[in-house]
Amino acid sequence: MNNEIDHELPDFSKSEALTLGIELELQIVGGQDYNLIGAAPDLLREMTGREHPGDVKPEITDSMIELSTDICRDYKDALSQLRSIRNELVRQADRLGILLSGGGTHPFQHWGKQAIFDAPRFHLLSQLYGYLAKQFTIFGQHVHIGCACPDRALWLLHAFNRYIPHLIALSAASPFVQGFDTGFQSARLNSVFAFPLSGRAPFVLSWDEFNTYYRKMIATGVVKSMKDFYWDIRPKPEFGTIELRVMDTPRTVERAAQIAAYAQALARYLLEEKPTEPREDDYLVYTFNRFQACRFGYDGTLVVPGSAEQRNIGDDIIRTMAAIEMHAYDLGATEALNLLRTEVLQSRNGASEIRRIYANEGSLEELVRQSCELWAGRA
Amino acid sequence: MIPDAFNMSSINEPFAFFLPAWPLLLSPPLWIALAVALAALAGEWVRRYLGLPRITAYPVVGMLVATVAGDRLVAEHDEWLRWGLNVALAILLFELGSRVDLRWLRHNRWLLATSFGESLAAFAAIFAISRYLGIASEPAALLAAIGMSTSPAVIMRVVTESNAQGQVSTRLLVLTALNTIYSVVTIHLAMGMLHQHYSGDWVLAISHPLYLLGAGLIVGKLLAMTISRLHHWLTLRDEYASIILLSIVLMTIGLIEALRLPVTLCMLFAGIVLRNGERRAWVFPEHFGSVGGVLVVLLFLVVGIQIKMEHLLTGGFLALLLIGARSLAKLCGVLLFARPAGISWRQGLLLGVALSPAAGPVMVAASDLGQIYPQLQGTLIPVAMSAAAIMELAGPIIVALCLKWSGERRE
Repeated sequence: MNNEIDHELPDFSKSEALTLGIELELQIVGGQDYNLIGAAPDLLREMTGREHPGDVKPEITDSMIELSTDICRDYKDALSQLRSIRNELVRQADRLGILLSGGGTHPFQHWGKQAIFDAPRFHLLSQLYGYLAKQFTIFGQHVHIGCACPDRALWLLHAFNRYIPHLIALSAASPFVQGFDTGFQSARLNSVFAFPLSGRAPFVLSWDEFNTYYRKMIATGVVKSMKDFYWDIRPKPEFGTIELRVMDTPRTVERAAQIAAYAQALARYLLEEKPTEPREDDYLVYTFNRFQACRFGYDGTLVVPGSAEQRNIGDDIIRTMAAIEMHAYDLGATEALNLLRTEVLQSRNGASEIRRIYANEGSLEELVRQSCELWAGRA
Repeated sequence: MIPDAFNMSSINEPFAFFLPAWPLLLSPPLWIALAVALAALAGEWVRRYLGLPRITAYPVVGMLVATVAGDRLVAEHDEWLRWGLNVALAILLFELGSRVDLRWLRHNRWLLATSFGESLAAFAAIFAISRYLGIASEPAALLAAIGMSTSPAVIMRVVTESNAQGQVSTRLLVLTALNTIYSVVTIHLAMGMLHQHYSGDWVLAISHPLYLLGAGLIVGKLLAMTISRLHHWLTLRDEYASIILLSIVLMTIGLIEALRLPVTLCMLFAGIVLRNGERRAWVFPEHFGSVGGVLVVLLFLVVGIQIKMEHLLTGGFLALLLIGARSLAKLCGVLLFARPAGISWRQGLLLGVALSPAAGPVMVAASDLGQIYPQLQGTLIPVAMSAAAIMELAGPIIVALCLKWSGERRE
């Protein structure tokens, strides 16, 4: 199936500017031992024919599942869609005696025990990447932001790079990997970095140039389609969106909707106020900033691109929230922004909650159990 | 058994006082240990070359050993063997109980329906066939009650050893735990009827199962509470904590016997209470399971030793009929509710078939019955013994294959 090569980039579809789409990769957890369980085929079978907005799809290993919303207008819409998909998923999981959880990593699963979901594309990836494919049992949130035209999409993509640390710090929920505290707030992203085509998109601002780049890459034989790029932000021409991919799946759908709303308001601010013009040199500090956010979250240091100014990431989020407040208001996302602001002010995110629970309970299984209850909206 | 070394008239007199007599007087435990070692080796062989779980080999080796050595082996060491087996079984059932998530049964009523369905169907099938063979209704009810249960030992060991995870294996564990509970209670009732203990006294007839369930639940609750207390200040997942768990289980078995309660029921209840009593996540300590694992070799070996070649043959067609009817009944019970309970037809099929291994006590109960009703010797007993023997040998293989085909095996 995926042996075919997309020689041409698909045309950039028209989509309404600033619409939202959210994808969440979820952990499927066994009710017996709280470890990941390969129940995606069961869950997908029981989900077929059930009424819910959006879609539910398999992911690379059979202990993962991905839910996605339809196109959402705003925060309220996204929240209600996410809740109803979540409710249906939880209902079916309950019937199957399995659990679902948010969070960027499963705290104690062993990658060697994962099985690749039985679909040609996933087997191909597994062949190519070897153990990396199984280590890719990590769970992210992707937010699509609709763009009216491809050039604006590329402009927005590069303007967003400065705010990537915000999205990481707000969503970070993967401190534990393979049973150990990594010290990172988002250890999930470390697994993404292992892939050869991860990182940032090339700095081009017009779709024609991007197309040229794409053709060159196809010609090298390194990639076969847009799907092979694991960039932090990538254009999605089929949807007419840019896709923000750095977030961990938050521990609740509510938080996922809030983060999407923050990104939407930020996009509107960037597009309408044009506070900066993106430049290649912005990327000089990109990986440093991103590392700081993954490692320290709100307490990390962010170097403002184009200057030597160092800021605390949490402070920078609060400042940005002040700047985008009116846009959030216009988009109906004030509530989301306020909830997130409280979290930042109390330096709380998924990672800090996970560490707090582990410190209290002293058991990773209990941590997973509580995460599942929280995800189901029962906690 | 102890050789009298000072008996000067012995023909085996050694040359010097410190040398052993000749031929050597080897004590039976040595032979039993040899049998265990053989069984373990055969288990490894079966696993490596046939891809089957180790326990498929144990009863076969037991049977062969018995054919060669005669059942003298077990008979002479009845007392400590019985304790060893009780402990092995107790740990297995405890773990099995702790796999039953009552919340799942609440969320999925059809699973509960499946459980009732397959147990009732098996009971009905065996009862009908026994009656057809001309057996009175009390002993027929007893046989049917025994036949309701799926062998917890076989299921636990095969699932654990194949490291299977998924709908078929998890449901297999839950359904086995449940049908074992129904079966134990019904067996006791049927026994009561058989021995005419109730003799028309309805108070007795009603209070008997209530005592079993109530007292069993209390003992289970006590054990669960003790362990969960310990768990709070001790990491029970530590290897060294196994000894504490083991001794607690031993004490519990002592208590259970004093109260004249069935070990099966109490240990299952203990597991269920432990799992569901608290909201906190409970995961059965792995090391504890492996302590039981060693005893399990012995368990299956002894089961095998009790099987005689002629058992496999005497029952003939009727034994196969009994097995077939019971298995089919269980399969139908599962398939009837498969889709509403949330599994595919294929999973339902495998689950239904995997429920077929019969519990070990069948043979014991059958021979007991034979003593009470000598007239049954001619018909029922050989058939039941034969059916049980066949299933002891075939059960583990059937379950292993079902798990393999379900794609849930992870080795």
